Amino acid sequence: MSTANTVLLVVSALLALGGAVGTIAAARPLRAALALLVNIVALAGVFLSLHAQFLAMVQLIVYAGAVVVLFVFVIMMVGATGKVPRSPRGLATKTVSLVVMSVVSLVLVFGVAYVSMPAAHLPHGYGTVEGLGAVLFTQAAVPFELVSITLLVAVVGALAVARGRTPKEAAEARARRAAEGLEADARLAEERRISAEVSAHGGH
Amino acid sequence: MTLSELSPLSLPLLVLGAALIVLLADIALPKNGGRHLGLFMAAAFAAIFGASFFLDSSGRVFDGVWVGGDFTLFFDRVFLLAGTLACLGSLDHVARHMPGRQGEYYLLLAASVLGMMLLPGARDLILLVVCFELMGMPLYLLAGWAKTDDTRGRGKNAAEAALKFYLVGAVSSVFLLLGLALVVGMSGTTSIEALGHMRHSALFDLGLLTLFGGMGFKIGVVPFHMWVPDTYEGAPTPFVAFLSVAPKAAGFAALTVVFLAGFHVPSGSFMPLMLLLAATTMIVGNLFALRQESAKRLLAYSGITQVGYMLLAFATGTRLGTAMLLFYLLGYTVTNIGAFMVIEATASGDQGEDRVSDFDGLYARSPALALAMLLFLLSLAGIPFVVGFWAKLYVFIAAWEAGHGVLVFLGAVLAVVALFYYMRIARAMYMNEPKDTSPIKTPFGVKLAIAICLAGVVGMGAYPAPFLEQAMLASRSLFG
Repeated sequence: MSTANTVLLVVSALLALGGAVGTIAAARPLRAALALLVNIVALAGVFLSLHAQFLAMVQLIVYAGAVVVLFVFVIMMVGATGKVPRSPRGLATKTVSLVVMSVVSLVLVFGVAYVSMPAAHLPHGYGTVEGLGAVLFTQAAVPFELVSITLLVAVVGALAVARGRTPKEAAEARARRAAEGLEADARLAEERRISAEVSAHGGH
Repeated sequence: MTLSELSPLSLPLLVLGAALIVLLADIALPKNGGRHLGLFMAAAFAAIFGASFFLDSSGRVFDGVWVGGDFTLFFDRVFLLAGTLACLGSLDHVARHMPGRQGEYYLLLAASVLGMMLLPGARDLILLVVCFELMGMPLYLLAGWAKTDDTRGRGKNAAEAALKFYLVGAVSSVFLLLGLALVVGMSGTTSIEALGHMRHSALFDLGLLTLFGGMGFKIGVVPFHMWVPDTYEGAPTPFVAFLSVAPKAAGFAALTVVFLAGFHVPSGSFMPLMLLLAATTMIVGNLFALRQESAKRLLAYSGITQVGYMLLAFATGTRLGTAMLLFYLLGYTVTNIGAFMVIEATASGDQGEDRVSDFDGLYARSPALALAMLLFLLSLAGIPFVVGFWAKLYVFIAAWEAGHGVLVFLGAVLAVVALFYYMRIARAMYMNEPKDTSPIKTPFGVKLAIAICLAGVVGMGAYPAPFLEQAMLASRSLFG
């Protein structure tokens, strides 16, 4: 790895970390979205330093170009300028999660740093546009098609869950609930009448 | 490539076709046609279940990315059965409580079944993760289906159910991907069959552990079980019946493929960990189930306990243990769906509170429902001679032969503890006075689903041999 490459990797990685922290720490939604943008662009830098040019380009086009812009649009449209409420969790919970996460991260860091890694042998052209195209039409054809089904289902489902009731449907639901309530009331009245009769007969 | 090369995938492709018909018909049909879509989907699942006995679905697709055989066939039938029962049981619930979004409900159910059916045959880690997503995404959405439409005003519960489930699912997917990245990074291949011959290194094992964690979330192993009771409580009951069995079966199918057939793991370092998890899962599920007042929550914790028994069968790592795991999953499918359908039948008339006390005097209100629930509970507890008894017995035999006598003893003791809380419901049904004496009107779809489950529980209890043989066959095809 050349010096320039190492510099690119380190700078990008630090920026990506900073962006990730900023995304979850920012109190305003818009700032969180912008921090996410930093994270995404920096990740593209990491991919570049690893010679995955195609992945870096896709990362920029799809995530920085489309996803973050969508986020920003939605935030602007909803006008979410308020601050995120403070977490209701107590100090104990926070400490426990901090300790657990630190242990996990330390294990990962030491794993990467000190365990000898026999680098896997990669076939020629791995990660290039040609290599990716060939895989997409052979081994990865089934998962690729399945991803499109997953996306279709996710869109349809998200729309169905998110859409509210139309006024007409709301009126129907109210009517139905009222009818069910009346039915239950009638049943209750009938039971009262019967039990009253029974007790009246018992009195004779 | 010709079309005939795709023939091993014929069953999942048929499900996909049915799902697309539902999607298009939902647009074309008038607004109140949703119920017909449900009927169509139930019929389609049943027909594909029937077709599974005639179509040859063995073979390799795309150089062994997906491999069909007796193992996939067994699981496909379990998922198709669960899908049929879920559609039947949902017909009235969905038409009544969420009339505005019926077509989408059945579309999502079918998509989830499609993801599950592809899981057992996946021999490529990327395909495995995609199948998990295709299975999981519709489930998160369906868990929150009652969000705005529920006439009983429990939309808040539904939102909580969906959100908790979604967040846990997203985290588990992250774990899966992290494990996958480590494993693939160390080996350079995503093929599960090729990975079996890899030399294990520390990072490779860490990746495997992370993969196991990700799958553990999906099946609800302790300590990844927190989402289960809350999700069950807020989601529509007929959907919970499906959720409580099918994703677990799919999760165990993936675990078996990756860890037993792929990596031959339990013979190595992971065995003590899995046994420990099996024991903890059995104990924790039982202890929490004891104190539940909601029938759905009680069955949720009982389901966690059952996962412990399945994990015990899985941890044997033998061909026999895997066969017993498959039989257990089959028995659990009919039993648990049946029990949740009875809850649906008893709770739907009232305010839908599904408390244990709602079962008070069920015998007086509907003797048939009470008898069905009693048999399902006996099967869950493992009392002779319903299917649950054989399932537990076979798991114990496999675990005993693998040398886990202590865990067999623990499992037997816990089964007695479990009897206590199952019998709480039985006592309420037969001994308590009913608060509400009106007879229960059970919708036809729910009745049919309960009848099918009952036939399974009693039939497999009386003649377990042919089903056990199928499980053995499936296990043999996986281990070769």
